[in-house]
Amino acid sequence: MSKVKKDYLVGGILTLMGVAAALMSMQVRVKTGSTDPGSRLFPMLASVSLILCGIGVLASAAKSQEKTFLSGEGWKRIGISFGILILYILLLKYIGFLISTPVFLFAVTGMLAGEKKVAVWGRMVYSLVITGLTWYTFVKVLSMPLPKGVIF
Amino acid sequence: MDIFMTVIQNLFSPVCLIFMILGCIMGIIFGALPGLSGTVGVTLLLPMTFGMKPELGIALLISIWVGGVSGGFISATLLGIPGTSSCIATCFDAYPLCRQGKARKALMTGIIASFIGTFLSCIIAMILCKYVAKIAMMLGPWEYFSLCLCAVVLVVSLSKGNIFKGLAGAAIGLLLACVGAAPVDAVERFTFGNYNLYGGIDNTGVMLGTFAIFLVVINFAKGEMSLQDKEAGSTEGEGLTLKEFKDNIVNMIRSFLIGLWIGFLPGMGAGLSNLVAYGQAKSASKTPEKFGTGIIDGVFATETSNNASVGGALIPMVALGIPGDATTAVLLGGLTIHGLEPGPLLFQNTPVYVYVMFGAAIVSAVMVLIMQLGGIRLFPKILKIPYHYLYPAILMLCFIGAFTASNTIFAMGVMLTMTAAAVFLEWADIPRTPFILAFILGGMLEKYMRRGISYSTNGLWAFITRPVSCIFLMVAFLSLFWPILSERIKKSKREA
Amino acid sequence: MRRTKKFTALVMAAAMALTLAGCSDSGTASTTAANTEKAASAETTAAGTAAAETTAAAAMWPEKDVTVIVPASAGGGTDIFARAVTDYLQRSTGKTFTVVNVDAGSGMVGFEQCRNAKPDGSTIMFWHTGFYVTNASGQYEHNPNTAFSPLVMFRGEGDDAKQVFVVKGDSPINNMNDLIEAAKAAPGTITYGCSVGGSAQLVAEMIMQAGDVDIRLVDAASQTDKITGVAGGNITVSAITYGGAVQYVESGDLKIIGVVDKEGTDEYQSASEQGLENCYWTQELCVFGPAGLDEDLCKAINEVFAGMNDDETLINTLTTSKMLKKALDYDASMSVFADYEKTVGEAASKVDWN
Repeated sequence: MSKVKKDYLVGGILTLMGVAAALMSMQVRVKTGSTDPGSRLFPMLASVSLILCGIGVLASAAKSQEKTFLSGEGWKRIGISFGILILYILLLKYIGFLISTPVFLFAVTGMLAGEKKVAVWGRMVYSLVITGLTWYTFVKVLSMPLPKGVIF
Repeated sequence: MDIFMTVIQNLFSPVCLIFMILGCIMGIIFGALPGLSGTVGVTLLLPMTFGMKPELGIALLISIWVGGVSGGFISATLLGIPGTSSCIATCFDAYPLCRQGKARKALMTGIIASFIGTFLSCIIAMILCKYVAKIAMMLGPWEYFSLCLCAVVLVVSLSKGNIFKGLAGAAIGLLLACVGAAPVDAVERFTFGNYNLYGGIDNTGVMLGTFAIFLVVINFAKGEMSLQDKEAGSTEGEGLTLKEFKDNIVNMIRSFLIGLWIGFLPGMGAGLSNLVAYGQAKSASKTPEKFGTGIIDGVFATETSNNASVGGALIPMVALGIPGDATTAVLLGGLTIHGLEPGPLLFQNTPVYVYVMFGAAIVSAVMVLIMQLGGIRLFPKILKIPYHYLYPAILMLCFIGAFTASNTIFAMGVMLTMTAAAVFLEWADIPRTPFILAFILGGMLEKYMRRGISYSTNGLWAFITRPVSCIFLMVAFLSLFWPILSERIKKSKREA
Repeated sequence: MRRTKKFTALVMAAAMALTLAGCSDSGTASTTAANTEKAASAETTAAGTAAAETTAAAAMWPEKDVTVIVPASAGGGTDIFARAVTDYLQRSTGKTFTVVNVDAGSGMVGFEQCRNAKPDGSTIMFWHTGFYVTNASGQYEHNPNTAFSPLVMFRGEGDDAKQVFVVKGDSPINNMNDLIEAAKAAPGTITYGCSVGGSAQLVAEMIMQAGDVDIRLVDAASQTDKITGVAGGNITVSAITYGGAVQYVESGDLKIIGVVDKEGTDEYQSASEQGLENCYWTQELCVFGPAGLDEDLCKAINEVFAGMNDDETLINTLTTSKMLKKALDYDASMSVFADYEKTVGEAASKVDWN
């Protein structure tokens, strides 16, 4: 199976995105009797531009250079990072800042340390201290609310 | 002369000086931290100034503002993460410089460029204020639309490589800007019934997601975390040389004027000017391909222009009571609270306070310069903190920043979605700058286009019949098609 | 072996975090109690039963930190007023009040945040009576009086709170009748700047009905937009606050042709005084909470706000910023809330909002 040039894929995706956007734009309500063109015009213009650009990319795909973006390991790491970040948001929503953040910080320090050996107790102290400092500064000093959580 | 004496007495009283120093420090910190900004700092401290004497309160708020605009560049240089939207383009060249071990050079450049931007723009503002202010009122939606369009097209035309990809990035940014309630008639678009999306996608979330979090995720994916500790943080190495400064004088003047003008226009400020100035510097440069790899010109351009917007925004604020950007809107509120009535007569009725404002901005610029120059050895020490301790805290701050902008957890989800979008764009080799610029300007572009059509009796023609608007549109048209045209001309010359 | 170590470490981290959380909560509780006591003892030095009632109210609300939602951007009229009053509330009750600007979607995200908040007094919203029009025009589907708990109605004192119609300083139009004549003479050229679906549009529709004339509505969302648009000659007429207009009138950039409120000022007649029937609107600020608030709690909240009428510092701040308002007591507030719902409903039903 021959390797498809990336730009063909990109062009295709862009065109599809443009078509999807155009379809959604057509559902936008236009108020009658207003003095301006209505809210459908702008997204339609943008969608059509996107479709045209997608086609343009497809057309010039033959000349494009192939650049490798990420290795397989790289994609795996992206997956892991997104996983942790999404988990953090969920934790924040249900448990609140004070508990989720030390856990998050602990996990991320481990993740970013990679192969390096970092003392577990160092990470724990760091996670708790940073959480406490941040909470104090934002909530007490600046009066800016932090996520409260549904359960707690 | 009396006025000047009073102003100097007020500004240079020990209490005021101390407050301004504290304000500058707070501003720098807020500006440097991703997720917070000078605007947030001003808004937070506003109630605390209620009980103060007006001169003191205003001087304090202005010092926070100036500090905030200048502080963002520190994190942009050292961490590659823009502290505020006014430093997005700074990252493009300052960060590579830092990674090459030239942190000191980058920092010096930024500090000096920032100072020149703020200092000169405030002096010009002070002198020209009365005369130039009326221009702000003569401009209508047609001019604003054409200007925004010109800015987007300019940046698109500079995207290296495929121009279709640059345009595509802009189109995607525009579509994202359409999410939420439409301007003018508040019709729901692309909201899928979710009321959180009704307000559209928040700027802060987009910026943090596409620049800050994206950077950390990508570096982790590529395994490039260790590069940080090796060469970073070296305060040895040369600072800024006089030759480099001289070479960039034209660049600085041009960027300064861009920043001044954009700051002057109500509704647009440093967030826009740094991107436009960067684009212009790149197109005017003899070595445009070096932009993005760590060229000092890029840093000069962005930092001069975003600080020049400070003086620019002061002009309509002081002379007309019209906010130049989000921070001046809050400052105006502050003036009202202290019983000063912003408007055309502010200068006439209470000239002391007007000069206090300009004076405070100028003095703060000097304070920030001294503080930053003094701290130049200190700042890179941040990079001595191990990567795996520094960046988790930064990530956490980004999440907090996204949350506090709208007080919803939803915003954090939006931010992550933007990170995913950034990954897609990077994979597809679509440049992020047109995307982010189109997103920031999308709302304004549509609002002014629609207003322009409805205000006038001859619809679309007004965009061309009004001279200023016409000029901007022509510039936009030319910058988009000129590269293609000049290639054609060169080709035909060769074949002839 | 390593895995279990990691797991235990995580569990310990979580446990310590929990203790942190527990500590902070009890900490807040004790400071709260101390503050309430301080507030209570300060109150007893003031005169009579009124003080005792306020103390009782302050003891009931707020119990914990309060989030104040302002569905407008920072620095605007509503925002500044909210911040000044919140500052008073924080001073008098000793609790933390946090102002949050949620101006997205013309304020609608803010409305929803308040409407969906827990009905325990920890979330309130500052807004204005334009709310009823936003609902009646179909832009916002929830009724302010039923989907929210109306809490406090403010009444603006003096002329500064009134709204006035303005045209460009050198315009040939001098009063409301001139405006109507001009609209009849050259249909389609007279434009009125307002944000669609709100009280400003209602006022425009009232003028059109009273004068039997058509005026083109164009978009101008903020006061700044209106001022720049009218003074720059791009919009014919718009309505802004009197306090905001005064300077521009003095400098010659704008001219006042009528007052939007029912009663004019000493200098200017109101639209209804000039003969336009049923053509008036008074924009007042008010406070809402989510629906389902206990009636006693509502009364207690109103009581705490009522204290601001006697607070010298706040009165000074509001007077200097030309937005002095009084908080109405509970019964008066409720009747005004009901009034607005009724009159707006009637007026809005005659308008084709499409």
